[in-house]
Amino acid sequence: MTAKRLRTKLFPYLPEGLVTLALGLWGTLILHYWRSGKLGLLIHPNYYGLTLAAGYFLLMLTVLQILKLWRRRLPMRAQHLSLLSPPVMSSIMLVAALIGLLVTPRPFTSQTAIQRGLQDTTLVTRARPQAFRTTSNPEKRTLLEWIRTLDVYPEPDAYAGQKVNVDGFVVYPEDLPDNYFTLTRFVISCCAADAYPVGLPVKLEGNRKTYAVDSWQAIQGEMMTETLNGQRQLVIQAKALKPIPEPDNPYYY
Amino acid sequence: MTLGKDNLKQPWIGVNRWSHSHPLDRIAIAMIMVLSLLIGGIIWSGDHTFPKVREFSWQDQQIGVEDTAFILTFNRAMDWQSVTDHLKIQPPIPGKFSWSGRRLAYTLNQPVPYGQSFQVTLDQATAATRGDAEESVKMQPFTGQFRSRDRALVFLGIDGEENGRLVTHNFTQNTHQILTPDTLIVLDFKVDLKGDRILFTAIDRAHADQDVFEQKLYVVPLTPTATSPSHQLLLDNQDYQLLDFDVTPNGEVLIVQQFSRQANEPVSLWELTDSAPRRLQHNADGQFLITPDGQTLVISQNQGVAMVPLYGDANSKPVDFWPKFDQILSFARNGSAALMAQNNPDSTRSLYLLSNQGQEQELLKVGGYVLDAEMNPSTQTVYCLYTTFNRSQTASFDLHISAIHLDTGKKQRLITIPKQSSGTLSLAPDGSALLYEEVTITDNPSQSVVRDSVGQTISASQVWLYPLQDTNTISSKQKKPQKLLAGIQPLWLP
Amino acid sequence: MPQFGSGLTLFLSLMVEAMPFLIFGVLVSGILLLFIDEQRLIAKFPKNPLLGALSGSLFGFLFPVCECGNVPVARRLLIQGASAPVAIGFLLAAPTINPVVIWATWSAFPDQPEIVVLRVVFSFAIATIVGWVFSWQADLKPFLQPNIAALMPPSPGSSTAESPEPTGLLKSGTYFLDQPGNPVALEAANLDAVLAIASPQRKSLWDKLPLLLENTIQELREMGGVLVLGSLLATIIQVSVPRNIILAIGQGPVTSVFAMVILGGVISICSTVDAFFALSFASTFTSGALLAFLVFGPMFDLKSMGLLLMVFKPRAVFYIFAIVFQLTLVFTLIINLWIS
Repeated sequence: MTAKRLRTKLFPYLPEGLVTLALGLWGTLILHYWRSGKLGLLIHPNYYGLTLAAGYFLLMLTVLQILKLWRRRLPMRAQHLSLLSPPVMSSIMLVAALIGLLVTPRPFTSQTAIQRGLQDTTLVTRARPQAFRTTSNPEKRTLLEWIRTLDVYPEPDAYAGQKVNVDGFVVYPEDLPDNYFTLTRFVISCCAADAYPVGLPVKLEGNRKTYAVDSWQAIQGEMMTETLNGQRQLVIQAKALKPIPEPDNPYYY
Repeated sequence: MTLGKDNLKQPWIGVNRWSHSHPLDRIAIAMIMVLSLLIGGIIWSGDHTFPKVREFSWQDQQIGVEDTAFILTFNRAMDWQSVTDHLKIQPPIPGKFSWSGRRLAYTLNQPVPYGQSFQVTLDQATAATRGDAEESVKMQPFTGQFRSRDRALVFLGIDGEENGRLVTHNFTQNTHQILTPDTLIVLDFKVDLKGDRILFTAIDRAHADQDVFEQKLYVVPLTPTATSPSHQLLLDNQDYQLLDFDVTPNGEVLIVQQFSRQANEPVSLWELTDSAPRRLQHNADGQFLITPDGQTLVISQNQGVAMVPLYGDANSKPVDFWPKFDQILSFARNGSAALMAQNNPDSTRSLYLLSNQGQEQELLKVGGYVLDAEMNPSTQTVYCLYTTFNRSQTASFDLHISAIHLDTGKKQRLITIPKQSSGTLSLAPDGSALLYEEVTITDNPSQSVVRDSVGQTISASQVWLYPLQDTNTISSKQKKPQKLLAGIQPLWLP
Repeated sequence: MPQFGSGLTLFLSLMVEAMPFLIFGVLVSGILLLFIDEQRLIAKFPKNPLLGALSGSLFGFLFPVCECGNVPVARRLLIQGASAPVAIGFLLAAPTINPVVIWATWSAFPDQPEIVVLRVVFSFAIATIVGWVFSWQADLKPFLQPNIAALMPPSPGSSTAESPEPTGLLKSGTYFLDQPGNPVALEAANLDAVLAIASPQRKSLWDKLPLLLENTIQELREMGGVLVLGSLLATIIQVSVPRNIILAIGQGPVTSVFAMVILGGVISICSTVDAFFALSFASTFTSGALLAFLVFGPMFDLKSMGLLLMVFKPRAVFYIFAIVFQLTLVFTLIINLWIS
């Protein structure tokens, strides 16, 4: 208790400085993600506004707090001693923000896709089904739109021969022969924590080793029905594959 | 507020010995005990639910040819194989299974036969065994019903009071009804594909000698009720003369072909919606059809057949053009192909199949005219109505109906009616039968106001039904044509 | 290494997503503290324990805070002398029974309205029952963290005198820093002064703004640190335990409920967005299990457990946890085993 008092005496500005720095860094971190376009990796665009407002708010708090400390006014207020001491709490936030600033977040990879049940065929997407239309241009459907269409009407034969034009990243599921890979995308509805993978098997002319795991590919081809693992399912017969750079925002919504 | 000395002792701090129990401790622990027992009891009493069908998309529905699949939604993941094994449809309709999670789609291999009731039963199927269920639970038996649409036709009456009026005949319910008033002479009609109304052109019976350019466009509900007006005028002929019309599959847009009574204006196509008419296309004097997707128009022009966007403006360029062909006859129901007629240099005509991938295939070459052609719902067979010169008599034609099997290319002449140069052909929506008519033309004065395309009076006409072999569901066992009733231009209702 | 990469993304996304909601909650609590005459507000709550719990549950409708934000508000209510049923009812129900969350749940399950209705009904029932249980304790102070208890107005029931037992790092008591670097242990007189600062009648708006700033920073520090720790734990479990293991037990009517309750407790998603998350399990999991996730998660998860421990003693947190957990199980098991 005396040690604690002593410390507070020796570094009167330490707790206040730490929390100010931590909050400021969090504000900076959010705005940094926004400016570098990485915010889309973390959350759904619907929440950009809210998150940005939080970032600006944190910066505003920091500025106000610095102004106050500048005028050498330490808080004249009751302080709650809590679960962990305030400097510890501030340091935790500070470290988390520093890690966020120093390490660039990466989009999820095939490993996460498999872990999150890409192969689970009984899993229906949460995506709201869209009306089944035979007349809409099949080559304009995105991977997610294909999945949604299949969700409404799963009969693979209904899509046989339709043109496909989709992109995504390569996953090698364990249960497919090696002339197949699964073209995959993640879908998020609010933040990366709820991301779930959607994908369609792609049938290749040769071995899938030509196309590295996690590489992004734009695929043109035709839909066909194949029986894989005892189930009739829709498969993309690839006619042309083109490597593409990873998009800035790899998610579907 | 001043606090006394006693309060400073902070009695609330440091009470954390279990020996000193508070009311909250007692009630909370009691509550936890009771709830534990309750949870144990609930789990011990076991599962009182069964796998069951939560939704059947065709329950009590009337199914038509455009309905290709039903969906069964279960309340939990099912053992797919056991459902596939135990699903029964009475009478049977062949189809295939596909799954998406808890949803089963059953896709019919061919259109549902019309005029029947069906029962779907699923019994003894089990839920997927996963998790803590020790044994697979049998599902709650499920029974669902649906009905296919009635087998019914509409035609232009010929006998007695039906003469020149639209009549429907429903085989399933065995009803017969005149739709249009006796003040009108119906010339042409089309069924809105949703099947609830008929658009028709007609002239006044009081001026029965008017030519066809004086026709006006009307609409009549297919099942008139006592309260609704029986027929309504859609388009008059005050400023424009009406030539032809068609309606989009969704029934929302009507395309009419008309030309201004003021000279110097070419025949053009107009779009009629709820709002003001809009001119779609200039210089369109040929016969035209709306494609099955309702997005484009195919127009037979002098130099060929053009496809123009339905929702473009008056000067839209054709999206496609086939100089080779002369007339559009019909489309496959799924839009995958069109049937076209071509006039050959040697004065013969050919029937062509044009796929939406651009491949063309000559199906038939005739010495007379190709009048109509239709493709069956499974797009395997084309039925063609055409004429040939009757060698025994000058300037006379015989009428034929042939079936062309697309996979083998085999042609089979089904019907021949000698000495008839015009007619109509209608293939049932489920592909089960053809309708056509045999007409009697007279030059003598007749009660009849019905004329053929060259203005000759038709005094009598017989509608025939030809059962087709490639469906096993038709009620009649015989494959011979059957006389149905007196009438002309028979058309199956969708 | 890929685990670390996706773990980091997961962690940061949880933080970035929750931050605005946390700030919102802290602001609401600050505004409640400084600009609303809570005494009068609290006086309006019914004295009857059951009615108090009911009204506390409904109080969330006015303060759309998720579980990152409800703890500061509940703490503020307690400090201001709200009865235990009111505070507990609010604490448990506010994250679910508010317009934002109901709307979000509805938009996630438009074709399963029963999920929305039952989520609200169950949350409401559980909050009320737990509130009622806590109403048996007339004086809640033995179950609160000392610093909270210290700020509470003395209650008539607390007459048993015991000497304070401050302990180590979690030293009890509130300090009033009257000069920089000169903390003075809070004595009764100071407590009065502190409450005077917080009392709305005596200060102008201009004077209150610095206090609002101060309060916001204090609470953000505490809650933000806990949020970091909670998100970290949720991330570690999510990355290290394959979701397949959880999914594999998702089909059984009993195991699925247990699995989703645990997932709801672990994953610590903000209640405003958890319905969308639950939707990803809608096809594989029983509806009882989905409800268990949606009801239990907002009331109690790893992240909010940390926050709760700042208000309540571990014993009380355990009671809340156990009763909420068991009631969730009872309701959702009945759904799964008898109704669905």
